[in-house]
Amino acid sequence: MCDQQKICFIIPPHILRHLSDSARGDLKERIQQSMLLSHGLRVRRNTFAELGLAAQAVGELNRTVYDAQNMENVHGVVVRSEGDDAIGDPTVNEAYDAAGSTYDFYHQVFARNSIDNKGMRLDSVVHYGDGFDNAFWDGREMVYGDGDGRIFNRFTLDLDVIAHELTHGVTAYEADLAYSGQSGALNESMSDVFGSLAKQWKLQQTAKDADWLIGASLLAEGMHGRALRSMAQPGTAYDDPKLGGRDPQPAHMRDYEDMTQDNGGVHINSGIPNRAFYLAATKIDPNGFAWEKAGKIWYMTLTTRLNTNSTFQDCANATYLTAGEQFGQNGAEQQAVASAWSDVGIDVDRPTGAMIPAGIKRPAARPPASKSKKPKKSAVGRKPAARIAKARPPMKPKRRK
Amino acid sequence: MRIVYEKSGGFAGLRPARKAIDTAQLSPDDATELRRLLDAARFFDLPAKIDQPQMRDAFQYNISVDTGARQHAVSITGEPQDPALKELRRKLEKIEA
Repeated sequence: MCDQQKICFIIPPHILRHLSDSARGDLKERIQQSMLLSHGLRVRRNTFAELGLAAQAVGELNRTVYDAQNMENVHGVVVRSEGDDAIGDPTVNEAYDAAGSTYDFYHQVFARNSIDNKGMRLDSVVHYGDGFDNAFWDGREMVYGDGDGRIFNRFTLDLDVIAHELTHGVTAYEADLAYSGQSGALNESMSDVFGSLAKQWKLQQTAKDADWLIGASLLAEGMHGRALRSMAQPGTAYDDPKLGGRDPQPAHMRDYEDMTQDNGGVHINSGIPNRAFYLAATKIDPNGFAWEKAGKIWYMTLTTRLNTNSTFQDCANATYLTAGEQFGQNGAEQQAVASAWSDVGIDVDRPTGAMIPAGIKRPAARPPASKSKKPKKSAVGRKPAARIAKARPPMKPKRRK
Repeated sequence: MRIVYEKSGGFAGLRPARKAIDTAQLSPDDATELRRLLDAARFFDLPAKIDQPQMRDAFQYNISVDTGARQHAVSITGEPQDPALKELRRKLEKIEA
């Protein structure tokens, strides 16, 4: 039982769990603290999940950076833990600092305590692979490649990239948008939205002053482009043969691309909801901070109204309802949201009148994918479904393109 | 034998790259190596989709093979875990079509 996939405890996990469950107050906390803190070895988060401890807040912010040492595995060595001083490796410090900034952004703006809203550890793996041109979320941790240096720089350079990856964790604990087609493009868009907002918040930029770019530092010197994506003008971020040509993102539903690659174009079609968010933020108030109103509407939508199978239309309707609920029915904010979606080719379905609780999500149109490895919803800080919203009519799935 | 290799997705989400390979046009060494790797990976017995459901921003690799007698296509999320399939993917990535 001591292979790489499982952690070995001197005391078997079921006994520790029993100890932890049966202990009270201070003792319980001490058992959990000692389990969480006493390991010099590489600790696997899934083991904590099995023990029901992953969701136990053990402090507000708990970062660890691992160095994969250019191997392709996420079992690196610990190089910087929470509270440690900066080290000589800028990649490590970038991952550490940006994870902290993203945590602070979610905490201060949305009162969210980490990925699961219960103080989940923020683990980052750097120097993954050899010149690896990617960053990803593997379900437990954020993983960053160094880039090949010719096309891409290292993936830790931009706060919005790191907040993008961390937001994939947030989404998994909330709407859990399925990663294909429109729900997948919404999943991607949410990561770009909160990625960009984390950067804007850190820089204290107004909607008008923000660059609305994703990955502005990632393209290596000599590449023809400003960034990997532009939320303000999808499709214009780069044009370089080394990147396969021009930025392929559509900015409007008429250019939506049905495709088999990229899980149905999740990184392509996200341009449409990305632009809707940018437009909503700038229509609400170009001189305001985007996270204060548009960001709040999108956050509330992600955490209370969307589900695994939500479409662009569902998201448009949900942000419209949320805007009315948060800032007043028919107010400037709600009108701005409707106008933003309309500009990208999606007209919101205006609600008619009946009342349903906002916390009740639409039943899934098809069975959700296997949940066996997913974080248990019971371990997640679900909000009480107490708020009441106007109902919307049954959704008419619109044929895309 | 014709092989189509596609790479898409990743954080960057670039326009999908597609490579069409005709083994008759390859050097004998490359053609032999590809056949060996397809056998080692038991390519024709693989499921159509090899997913890692919790992964986000991983690359997606689509590999389809047509021998004339047999056709099969596999879509893979992230770097394959199976060593032979991983080697096959890397060979396809490197090979000049």
